[in-house]
Amino acid sequence: MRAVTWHGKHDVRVETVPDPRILNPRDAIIEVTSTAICGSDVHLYDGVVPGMQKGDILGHEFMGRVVEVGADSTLNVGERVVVPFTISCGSCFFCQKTQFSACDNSNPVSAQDATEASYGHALSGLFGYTHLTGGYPGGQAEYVRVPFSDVGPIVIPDGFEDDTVLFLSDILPTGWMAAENAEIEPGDTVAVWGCGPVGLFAIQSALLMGAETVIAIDHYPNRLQLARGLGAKIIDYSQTRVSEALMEMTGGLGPDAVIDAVGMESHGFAPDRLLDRAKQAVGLGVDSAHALREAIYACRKGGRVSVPGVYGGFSDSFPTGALMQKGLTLRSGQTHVQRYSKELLHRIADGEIDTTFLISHRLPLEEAATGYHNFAFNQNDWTKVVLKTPASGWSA
Amino acid sequence: MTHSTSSKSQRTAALLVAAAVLAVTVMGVRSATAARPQLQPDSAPARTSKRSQPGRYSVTGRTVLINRPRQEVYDFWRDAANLPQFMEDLESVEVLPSDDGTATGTKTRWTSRNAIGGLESVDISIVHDMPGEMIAWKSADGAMVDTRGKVTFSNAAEGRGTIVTAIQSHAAPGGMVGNALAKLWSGDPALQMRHALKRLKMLLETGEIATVGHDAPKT
Repeated sequence: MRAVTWHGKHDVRVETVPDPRILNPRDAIIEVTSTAICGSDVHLYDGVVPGMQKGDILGHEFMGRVVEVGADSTLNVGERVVVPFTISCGSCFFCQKTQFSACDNSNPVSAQDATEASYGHALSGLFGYTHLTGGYPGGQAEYVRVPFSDVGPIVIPDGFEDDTVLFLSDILPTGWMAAENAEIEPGDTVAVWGCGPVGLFAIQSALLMGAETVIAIDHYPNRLQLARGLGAKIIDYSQTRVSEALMEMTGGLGPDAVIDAVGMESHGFAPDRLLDRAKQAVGLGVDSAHALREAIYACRKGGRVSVPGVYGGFSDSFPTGALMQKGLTLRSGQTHVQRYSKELLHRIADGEIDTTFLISHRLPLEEAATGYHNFAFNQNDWTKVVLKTPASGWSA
Repeated sequence: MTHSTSSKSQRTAALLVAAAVLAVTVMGVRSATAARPQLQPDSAPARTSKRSQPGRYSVTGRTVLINRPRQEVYDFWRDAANLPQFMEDLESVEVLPSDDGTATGTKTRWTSRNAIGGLESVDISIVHDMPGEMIAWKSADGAMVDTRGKVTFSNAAEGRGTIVTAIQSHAAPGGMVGNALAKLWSGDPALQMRHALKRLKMLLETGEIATVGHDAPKT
């Protein structure tokens, strides 16, 4: 089959690789129709996530048709499914608490040692990501093996176009959980750093959850316009002093909740961020946490800090003083996708949530490298890239 | 001032300094001893102690939470034929006749691969068996590496399943050096134990062992 493979910093290729096969009773094989490039794929593309190996198949946002099932799969051949990026067993302590992204049983045992040593606990398995999360072959391919297919995949009824439901795999529930972690109350102002796909879905979700005002912060005009289109106020940090503006726009209170939808590769020319990037450049494994620092600084006393942005290592000059002295609550984590699947599918069906507005480009799978390059280097215009396989029947 | 006088006075000065340092050190040690409250044993298991444990055995232990009933977890472990499913280093386990001629599974032969790929066997006997609670075993007298182990099963807090703790100790001939060589030859017991318990957990909680293919489970 054809698949998008990682070969190093800024080097992804479409290659012919062996087809996946059923390995465990609960597995299913999915023939992919649509698969997207995620912001966290860009972290892999930029080479800032450890544990990648040459030839790894990328992709964790994908959907398609079931073509083969293991003995204990509950799926049927021919069903259309969207597959969550988190691989979860459904029966461990964490899955039973619906903390699916903390599943104890999805990361192969030998792959658990590294994160057990570096984070204190082993991470769960993820599709198409680093070997720290299992090194599972990903969904930017014609076929994918899906473990625990009786727990993860969301069966999609007829009548939904791929592009309306594809983002149930990751970015829509990720934006939703980010807003949920902001514990929004009526009257609240929520500030969101980063108008990438997750930030935009967090904005949409925060408004649906009853936020009075959402303020979106970015410097790409096109992305800020998308945020404004959803009903957010916007701040362009390239022309505005963000913290001061947030105080002035919230009656001197500060935002009730702040969301860092940027993560470890923040942009801009703030001194702390330049120092972080310098350390990253010499391999010191430092997360560039400028957006998170600024968010904590801006958040009102007693407010909530929600972090869907991806971090992997350590961050210097983390503002512990502001966090403690202002009595902030911080919540974060990989998304517990399976927790939100049904509800979000209903909201899409009811027309409450539109997910297609952020798709800027559709490309054949074969042109994945073009998609990666532009999604990484032309972020203003390339807001979301969906790759289409031949099985989708799509043509440009 | 002659050279020898100078050298002598330097020696005297050095001795005085040394004596002073010693006196201060002794005072320091005494005051520190006096100030430090007597250590009480804490609630943590001995294998987590910062001090190396005395004796010729190298001890490793690990606890895992398995979201299944206690009796089920015990029964699975007690059936020797199941062990190679989760103890990755084991090639096979053969049940041997007991002393009275019956095959109760208390005497077994564990076969594993060494560092150069050869097969090695060791006879293991269950020395203590408390159904649902504990299984203890030891290697037969005369085994190259003296191995003792036990696994305990206890109820976790309501709704959390079973706490499984496995402890294994090894004593190879030659003390610490022998234990280190045995680790190179047969693998790191701590790593093997950790992996075995995680695989057991996967098997009992999900019915399968997570894999991406190149570490496919044995059948």
